[in-house]
Amino acid sequence: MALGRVELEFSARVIAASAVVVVFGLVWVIPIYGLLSGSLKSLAEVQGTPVLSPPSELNFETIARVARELTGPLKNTFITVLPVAALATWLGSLAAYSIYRRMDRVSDSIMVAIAIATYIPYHAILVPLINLVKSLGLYDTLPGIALALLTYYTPMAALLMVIFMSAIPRFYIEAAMVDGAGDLRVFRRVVLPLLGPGLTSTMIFLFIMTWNNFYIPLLLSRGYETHITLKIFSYVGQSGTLYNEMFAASLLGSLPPLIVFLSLGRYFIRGLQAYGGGVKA
Amino acid sequence: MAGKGIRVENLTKVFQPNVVALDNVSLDVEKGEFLVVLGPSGSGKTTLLRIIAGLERPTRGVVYIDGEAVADPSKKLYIPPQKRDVGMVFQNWALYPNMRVFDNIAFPLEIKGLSKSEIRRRVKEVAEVLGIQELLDRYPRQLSGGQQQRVALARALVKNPKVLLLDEPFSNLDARVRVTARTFVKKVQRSLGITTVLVTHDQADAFAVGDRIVVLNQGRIQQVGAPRELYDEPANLFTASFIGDPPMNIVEAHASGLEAIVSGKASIGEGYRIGVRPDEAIASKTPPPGGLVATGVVDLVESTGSREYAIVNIGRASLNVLVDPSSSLSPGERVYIVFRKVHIFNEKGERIATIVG
Ligand SMILES: Nc1ncnc2c1ncn2[C@@H]1O[C@H](COP(=O)(O)OP(=O)(O)OP(=O)(O)O)[C@@H](O)[C@H]1O
Ligand SMILES: [Mg+2]
Repeated sequence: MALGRVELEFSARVIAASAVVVVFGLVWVIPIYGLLSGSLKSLAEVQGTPVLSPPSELNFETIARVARELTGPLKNTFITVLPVAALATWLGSLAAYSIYRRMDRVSDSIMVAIAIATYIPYHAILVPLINLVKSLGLYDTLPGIALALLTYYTPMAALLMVIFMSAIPRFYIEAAMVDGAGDLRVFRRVVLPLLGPGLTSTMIFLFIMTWNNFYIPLLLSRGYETHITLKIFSYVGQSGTLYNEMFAASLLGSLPPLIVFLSLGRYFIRGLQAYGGGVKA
Repeated sequence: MAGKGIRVENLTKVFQPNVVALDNVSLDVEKGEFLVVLGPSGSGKTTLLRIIAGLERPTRGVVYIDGEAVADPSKKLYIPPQKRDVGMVFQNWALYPNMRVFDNIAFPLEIKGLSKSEIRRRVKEVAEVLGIQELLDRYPRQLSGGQQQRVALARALVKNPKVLLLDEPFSNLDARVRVTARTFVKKVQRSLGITTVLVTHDQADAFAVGDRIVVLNQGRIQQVGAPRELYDEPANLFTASFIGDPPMNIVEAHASGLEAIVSGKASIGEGYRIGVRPDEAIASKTPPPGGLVATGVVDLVESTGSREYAIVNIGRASLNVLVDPSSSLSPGERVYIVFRKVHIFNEKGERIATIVG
C-alpha cells in the first residue's frame, strides 16, 4: 500500500528525530563505555591500548577492589547530599511560595537577589564560606560540607521552585483562602500536592549537582573520605596515576546519580512539562 | 447604618498604574436576597466580587458584611478572606484537583476543626441537597461541568457562610445544562435563604435568578432594579441597549421618520434618540385600528423558530420589528407598524419619556 503524503512526511520526521536521539545517545554512552572498558583492563593494558578498544578479558577484580575502598566515601556522600537536596528543595519551595504570594516590590527584589546568588560562581564565595564553616567548628566534618552545600544550592532551589510555582493557577490558592485556610495550610494542602513533579525535579537536580560538586568538599576536608568526588580525585597519584582504578572509581561514583536519574527521570520530565504546559501531568 | 446583608459604600478600585475598575460604586444587598451584577466584559464585576470576598483591597470606600465593616482603607481596616465567612464559586470552579469530591467539600470544615463524624454528617447533608451523593469518591477530573459546578457550590455552602458569591458560575456549561443549573441554583438559594451576589455578562442568567439586578458598565452602576423594571424602564441608553434580546432599536430622533408618532407627546431636542424594542413594535399588512402607527417598507425577514422579525425601513430609519404571526411578509412590501412602547432619550443618553401606545 502506498503511503500518503502526510504519512511520508511524518515518517521522515520520525526518522530525523530518531537520528538525533541516536547521536545524542552515543555522545552520552561513549564515556560510560570508556569507563567500563578501562576498569576491566589491567594497568598495563589501560596504558597500552586506546581508550575505546575493548578489554582483552573480563576482569572484575579492579572494580571489586575499588568498590571496597569506595564504600566509606559513597556512604558519606549519601548522608551529606540527600538531606541537603531535600532540605534545599523544602526551603526553596517555601521561599518560592512566599514570593508568589506577595508579588510586590519586596518580593521582586528578593527574587532578583536569589537569581544573582544563583549565578555567582561558587569559587567567588568559597573563602568566606570556608571561614564561616571553620568558625562554627565544622571544618572537615560532614555537617560542615552539608552546610556549605546547602548555603550555596538553596537559592538555586528557590529559583527552580519559583518557576514551577508560577505554573500553579492562582485561583486554587484564592479558593483555599476563601475556604478559610491560613498560609501554612494553603501551602501544605493545596500548593505542595500540586507542586509534586516540580519538587521531584528540583530534588533530583540538586542531588546530582551536590553529588558531583568537587570544590566545596575539597576545601572543607583534610582527607579524601568525605565526598566521592574527592575519593575519585585521590586516584590521581603524585608519582603516577592508576588509570584502571581511577576509571573504576569514576564509574562507581557516577552510578548513583545515573540510577537516580534513570529511575526518577519521568518525574523530572513531567515537572518540566508542567512548567512548559506541553503535556498534562 | 449598615444593613444585615452586604453593603458597599462609594467603592473605588484603581489598579496600578491607572485602570479604574470600579468607580464610586454603592449598593445594598438585603439579607437573603439574590442580587445579580450584570455587565459587559471588563466592567468590573469580578473586581467587585473579589473585593467583597477580601481577595482584593479597595482603593477607597467601605465594605460591610452582615453589618460589620470588613474593609475600609480610610481606617486601615482590612479583614482577610479567611475571616470573612464567605462562600465563593469561582468561574472555573477551582476544585482542588488532588482531592476527592468528599475532601473538597470537607476542606472548609476541616479548617474549622470540626470532628470527623460531624464533617461526614455535614458533607453528606449538603451533598444530598445538591444531588451529588454518588460523586463523593471521585476526583474533580472525573466529573462533568455541571457536576463540578454542584461540587463547587457544595464547598461554598457547606460551612454555612454569611454570604455566597458566584462569579459567572454558568459560563462553562453548555446551553442545556445551563438552563437547569440556573433553576437549581435559584432553588437552593431560596431554600437556604442565603444572601447571594452573582456576577455575569449574560442577561439570561441575570433574569433567571436575580431578585434584583445591578447593571454595571466601565466600573459605574448604570441602574439597579427588578428584572422587569430594567426591561420596561431603562434609565439610560446603556441599560436600554444592553438588556433585551433582540436588542432595542436606537435611532436619531430627528429626521428618522419616527418624529411623527411622538410629536405632541414629547418634545424632541437636539441629539435626542428614540428607542424601540423589536418585541414592542409589530409589523402587519392590515391597517391597525389606531395607536402609534407608522408605515414602512420591508427590507428583510428573519425567523428565530417561534417568531419572525423583519427589518423595516421607515423614512431614513431602519428598525428590527416583530412580524404579526397572522401576516407573512416579503421584502419590498409596504407594511404598517404598531408601536406599543417608544422610549425617548436626551442628548446625555438619559431616558426622559416613554410613550405607551
Ligand atoms: N489585577 C489587575 N491588574 C490590573 N488591571 C486589572 C486587574 N484585574 C482587573 N483589571 C482591570 O479592571 C477592569 C475590570 O476587570 P474585571 O475582571 O473586574 O472585569 P469583569 O467585569 O469581571 O470582566 P469579565 O466579564 O471579562 O470577567 C478591566 O479593565 C481589567 O483589565
Ligand atoms: Mg470577570
